Amino acid sequence: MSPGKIIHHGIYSLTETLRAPPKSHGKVARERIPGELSPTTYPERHVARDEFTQRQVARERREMSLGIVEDQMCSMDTVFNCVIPYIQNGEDRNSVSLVCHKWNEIDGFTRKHVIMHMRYAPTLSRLFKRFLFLVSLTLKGIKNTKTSIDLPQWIREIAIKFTHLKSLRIRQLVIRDSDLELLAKNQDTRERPLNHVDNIEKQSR
Amino acid sequence: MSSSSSSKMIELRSSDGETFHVEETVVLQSETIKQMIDDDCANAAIPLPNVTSMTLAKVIEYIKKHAEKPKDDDDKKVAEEDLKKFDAEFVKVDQESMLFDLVRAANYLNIKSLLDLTCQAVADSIKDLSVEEVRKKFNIQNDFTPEEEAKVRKENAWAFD
Repeated sequence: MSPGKIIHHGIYSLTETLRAPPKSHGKVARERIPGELSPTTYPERHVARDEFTQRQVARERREMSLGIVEDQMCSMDTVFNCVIPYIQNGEDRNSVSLVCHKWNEIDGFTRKHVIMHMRYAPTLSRLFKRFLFLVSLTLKGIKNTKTSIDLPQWIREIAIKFTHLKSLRIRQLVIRDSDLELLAKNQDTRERPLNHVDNIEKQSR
Repeated sequence: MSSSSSSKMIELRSSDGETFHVEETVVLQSETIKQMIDDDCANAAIPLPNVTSMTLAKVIEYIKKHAEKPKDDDDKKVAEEDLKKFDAEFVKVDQESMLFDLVRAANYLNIKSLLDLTCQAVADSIKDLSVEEVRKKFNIQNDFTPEEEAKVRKENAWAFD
């Protein structure tokens, strides 16, 4: 029956929204319960259906109120999840990453473009851990300056791990033919084009 | 000139029990509702437990406006300008919470253009704000330890657009 399906859909979406990580209970209880959600405003049926001792009633009611408060918090999470991908500017993105853990996480998996400044000696593992779904990546060194970065290692890892990468730019760093071969090979096997490798400074080794 | 006589009407019910009657051609902008209609699930009123009547009224205002079809090319240009103006006014809401409700509704109902419009409006409102200002705006608790925050700041120095 079709009406049944509608209801199912509705409830499904509802539970998805209402679901909250259990670990946040304590924090929520302390910080977020507004006065109007005090236990006295809950329908009596939760209590009247069975006989509860005072303590059980109180406990059940407290859990009920948490459910509703978490609904408010979860629904803000939905807003954050929707909105953050629309923040494109890099500096705004950096601010986003500093707001709280949740925002940092959303920034991590929705950031598409990153320029890595190699003179700060970034670590490869952090790059993968934080921005796994990059679409474009630029590795930038300083002209005529040698960095301690093991570029072949970076290229190897980037070619394997960033499965969404469409563009890799390498600027002011020494890149070897073998690195380019590696990229080209990965391009063939994975059928994903690497559009830009510009400003190449060739140097025979 | 809408063809309300020929188009089928769809009944939507908000979370607070209010019902709205909208033409099927208009409501098809919602992928969620379109799916229900395609699955033949829209014979009775469609319950929208995540959308209040106030938000739903705004959403319907939006999709009705966006369903208007220009008659010819001259009309098309005028209509496009008109729609741009409408969109700009649409996101100027008194209460910011209304904008958040609209984001949620657009997401739930899966109306891409409305989601783009409302999300961009919220994103623009955060533009150039400091981290502290963003936290205050959304009432977010800073849950970083000073060490964690310093680490993210350091990483941000090597990675930006």
